[in-house]
Amino acid sequence: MRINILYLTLGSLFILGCSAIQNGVDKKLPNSVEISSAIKEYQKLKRDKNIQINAPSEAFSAGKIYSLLESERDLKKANHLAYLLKSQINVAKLTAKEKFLSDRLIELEKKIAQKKIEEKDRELHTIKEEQNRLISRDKELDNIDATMTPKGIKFTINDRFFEKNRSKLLIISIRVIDKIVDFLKSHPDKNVVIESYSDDSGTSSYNLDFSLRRANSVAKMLVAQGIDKNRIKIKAMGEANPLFPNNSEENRSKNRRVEIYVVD
Amino acid sequence: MILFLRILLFLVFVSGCATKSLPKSDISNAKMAIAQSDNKIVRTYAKKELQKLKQKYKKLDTLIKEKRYKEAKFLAQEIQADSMLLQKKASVIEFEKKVKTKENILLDINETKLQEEDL
Repeated sequence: MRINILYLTLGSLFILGCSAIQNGVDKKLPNSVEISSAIKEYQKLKRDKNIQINAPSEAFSAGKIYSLLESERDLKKANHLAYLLKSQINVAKLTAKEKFLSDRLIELEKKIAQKKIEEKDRELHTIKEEQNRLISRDKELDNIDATMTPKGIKFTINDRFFEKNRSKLLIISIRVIDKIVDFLKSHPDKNVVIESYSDDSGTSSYNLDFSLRRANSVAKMLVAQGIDKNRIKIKAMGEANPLFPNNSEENRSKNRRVEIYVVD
Repeated sequence: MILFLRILLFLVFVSGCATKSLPKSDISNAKMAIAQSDNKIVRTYAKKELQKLKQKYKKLDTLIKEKRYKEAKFLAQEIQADSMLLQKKASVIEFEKKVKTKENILLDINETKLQEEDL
């Protein structure tokens, strides 16, 4: 009898002791700042369509933790679950943000690729234009003819055979120079007069100097091709004798020229 | 007899309630979570938080040594949650940087195009 009472007492104590510790005595959901703020945040999360769409599995996990929290009566455990719930809510929020950023990144990469294609197209177009320009210039060069004038046979080197606003001849001018050189070599008794002109955009002294530099440039090329320098005479004309009124860039360009006369 | 009864009561109480055994799976999950967090992206964008997480893991070790298994279990679960959050944070920061870089590239391209059109 005494032993039975002893077992009964022990059993009761065990049950009382453990349930008091593990399950809590209060049957209501325990309350703390942590718990109530986690619950509020979860309610918000449930209403957030963006998160429901872009982070569904994370939102679902938060829901599972919330269910556990709802049925928990022990304050410590409930606080712990509230911590886990908040953490999971933040994971869900960040996952939705990550999805948004990932989509944005893809969209930007597409746009950049598109822009690069457009850029390449523009470059290609420019190259084609340049190619066409060179082809038409080639045709022009092939058609260069010497013209007879009272001063003698005249060859003209236009502004476009020089670097822009400089006296340096472009490689392409070699074909005009070659024609003149061929002619002079086959007529060793003839001499050359180089008359160089500018437009009127600078001061007179600048224009004179500019035309002199271009004339010298042509003379150097002729000498380099084997023409005796004693056969060459240079005249820097500055802005004199414009072919056209200097009232547009196109006309000014036409006025900037070097005329080469083959004389007796 | 009374002394025996008191000892027995104490043993029953202790063995019944001192939670209880080592939470092996939570601990190993926490360990795995720490290993996953210790990556290049997290080290680059969330170094301080990673240090804090490692401190928590040290605390977990102490709790285990002291056989405070219930607290250890909670802490191990917190470590897993923190680790997941940390990795997400770092990943979002990395994405933000990538997006910013691409936005700047696009801006540069557009500005260059406008300048070319002006010319």
